[in-house]
Amino acid sequence: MDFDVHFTKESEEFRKEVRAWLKENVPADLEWPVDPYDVTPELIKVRDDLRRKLGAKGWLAPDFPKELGGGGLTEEHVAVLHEETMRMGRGGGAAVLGGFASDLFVGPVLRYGPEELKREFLRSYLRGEKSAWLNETEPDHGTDNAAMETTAILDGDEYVVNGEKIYIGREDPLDWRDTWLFTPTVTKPGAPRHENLGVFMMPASLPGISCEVIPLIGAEARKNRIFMKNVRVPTRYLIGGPEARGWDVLQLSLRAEHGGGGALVHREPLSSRLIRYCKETKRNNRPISDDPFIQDILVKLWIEDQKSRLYGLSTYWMGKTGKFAGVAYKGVQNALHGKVEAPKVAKSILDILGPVAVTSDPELRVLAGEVERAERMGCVTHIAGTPETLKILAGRAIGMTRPYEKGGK
Amino acid sequence: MNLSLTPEQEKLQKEAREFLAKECPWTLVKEADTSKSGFSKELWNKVAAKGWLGFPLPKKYGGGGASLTDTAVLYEEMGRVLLPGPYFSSTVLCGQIVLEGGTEEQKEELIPAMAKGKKILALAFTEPDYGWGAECIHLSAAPNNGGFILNGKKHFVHDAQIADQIICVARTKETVNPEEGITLFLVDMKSPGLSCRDLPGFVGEKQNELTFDAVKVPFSRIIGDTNIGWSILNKAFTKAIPVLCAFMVGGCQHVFEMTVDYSRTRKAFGQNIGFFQWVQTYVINQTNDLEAARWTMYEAVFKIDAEKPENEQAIAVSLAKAVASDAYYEVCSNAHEVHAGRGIQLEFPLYLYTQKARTLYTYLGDPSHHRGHLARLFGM
Repeated sequence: MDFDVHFTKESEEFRKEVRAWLKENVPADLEWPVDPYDVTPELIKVRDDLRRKLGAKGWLAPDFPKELGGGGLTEEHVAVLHEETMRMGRGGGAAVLGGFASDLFVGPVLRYGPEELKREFLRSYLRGEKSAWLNETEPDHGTDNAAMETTAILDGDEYVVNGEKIYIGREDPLDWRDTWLFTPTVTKPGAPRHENLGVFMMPASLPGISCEVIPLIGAEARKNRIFMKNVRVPTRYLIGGPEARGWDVLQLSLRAEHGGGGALVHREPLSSRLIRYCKETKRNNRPISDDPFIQDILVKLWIEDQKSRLYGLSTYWMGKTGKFAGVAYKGVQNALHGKVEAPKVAKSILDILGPVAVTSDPELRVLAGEVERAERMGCVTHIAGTPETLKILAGRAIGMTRPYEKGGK
Repeated sequence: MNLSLTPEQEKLQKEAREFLAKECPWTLVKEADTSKSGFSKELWNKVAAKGWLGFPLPKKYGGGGASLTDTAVLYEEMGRVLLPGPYFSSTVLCGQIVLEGGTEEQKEELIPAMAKGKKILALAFTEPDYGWGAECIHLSAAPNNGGFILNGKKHFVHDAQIADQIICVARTKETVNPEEGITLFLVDMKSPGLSCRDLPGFVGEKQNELTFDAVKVPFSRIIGDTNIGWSILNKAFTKAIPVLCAFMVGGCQHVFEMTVDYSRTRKAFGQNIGFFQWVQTYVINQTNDLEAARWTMYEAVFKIDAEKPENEQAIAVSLAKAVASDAYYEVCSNAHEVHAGRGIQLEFPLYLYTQKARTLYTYLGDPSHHRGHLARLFGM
């Protein structure tokens, strides 16, 4: 076994190129807010400019083939690109990372999308001209996709879409109409569960779509309500054809959302930064980390971060080598671990730091507000499925559920 | 990066799995558990014939010359079947101590004999003031006529009941830094003044109390030199602990599989109990613990095989043991939740794994000990 990513001389040259590019293109004083609701239009513009420049270099989707708008780069190059971006920390790092293309969308369109859509979507998405949102969750159905109510009824050569989606949004564009909406709908009302869905990748600029920001405590991204009223969607935006294969399309996206791809490169975990902070910060003339109880909490946090890193790494490896068949719960595992840990992390930090853990006051906040963010993230365990939903998925993967609970075909 | 086993390691895994499934059914483990010796000599000899004793020890001393990763693959399989006996304590733990600290003469005397299974060694470390830190070593070794006289007690000495010799960790000098002044003595179990008492209970392997009542040890039986025992132990523990973790991972894997099987066949309220989501949750927790233990262990053996900096190795090893101890304990606890009454029947093997998980939880440092070690390694 070898847990190291080995960089060749050539990839080290690439590292120099990336570093120089980032230095030249990312403003050195760029501060990216911890709270997504604090992101200003000016910052969005900076990020979107960066994204377009990344897209022009093929670095938005570095490992995708060049002919599709990707970078045609190797795994090593991707690792270098991510490492160098993460090295920038918050600010530039967040801005660039927010731009990378997501497997949530690219995989399903590539596998199931009509040629025309592939060209149209991939060109604008991978060049950084438009972003994409998962337009999936409904107000009354949460993660129960099979109970979805948004309908798409074929009328001539267009579908007429009606419905409402909630908690939608990733990185914001200046104008929400500049996004693609990955939208599961019911294309065959009355058909059995899992045989009734059709998924669209449609422009948010279609007439009949409106968007309303939802005020949230603000943790992962700004979220919106999307209303679709008699939206006429050309059939070329349907992924997977008219046979209601939406469930299969959705599975690909969900697998990516549930961590199915794993992770090769990892940002320095919060626990390591906290350990450093506690060693460097004194209370009563002694480093916070002198207290053995605090040491134990810090090391426990660090251990959980290591588990997460190794879940991600082993999942990445299994995905890459096609060994998922025997251990299909792997992707879910890391997502579940993060969700189960988040409230514990928040509590541990409170134990270590006291009330300073929950302040965003510019003078008092810890680790540039990341700690206060972790306190909020402790209540955000539902994104991409609640822990209980993920357990159902893991149970299926292990093979413990009833035959009719397989979920999709 | 490559997280796959090599074809040779896969072959070893298959061979070990088939051999152990045939030679070490759980009933043999049960017999060993209730026997005085705690192991099957016959099976010990068969394993020796496979060349698996002394597997990670150098070929020049009759060992297998295997990498630590190869050794981990083998010990994971041993852990799956709970292979009873001093497979870890003698050939891995004491083997590494002799290799790290012994004189050339001692290596030539001891390692080939251990690798052939002709000699069994055990480590006597913990004392009534229990703990795995140097500050817990009080057993006194006083100079006397060119040798030393040992007085004191050792508690929870694994496999001493069948050992030919023990490596006794003793204090030869009182110093401010407790890591100084520790010496390792090779003591014959038949030495006058040395007595051994079994410590029974809900334990996974034989553990003993050793009483040293003016036991004389000649100078030539010191491993390495006087007062340098702690650094020898440190180096040996770094290599041995991940192998113990591999054994624990094997146990976790088997208990997980056993629990999935049971949840698929046991019926209650008209359906398989595995259909109940609460039951599924116990099993999912097991997979998370199992995978965490497996990958922290493999990363640790990788770092040692790849000769990463000492600090990096030490961090990986303490991480692996802290995770493996918790994981094995939790995997068994979750298994008991699923198996309910069946899990505590002596006609069913689960209790043997649970006993083992309890015993190995503390062996060579419990999670709290290793978290403390990590804190020191992080400069806190």
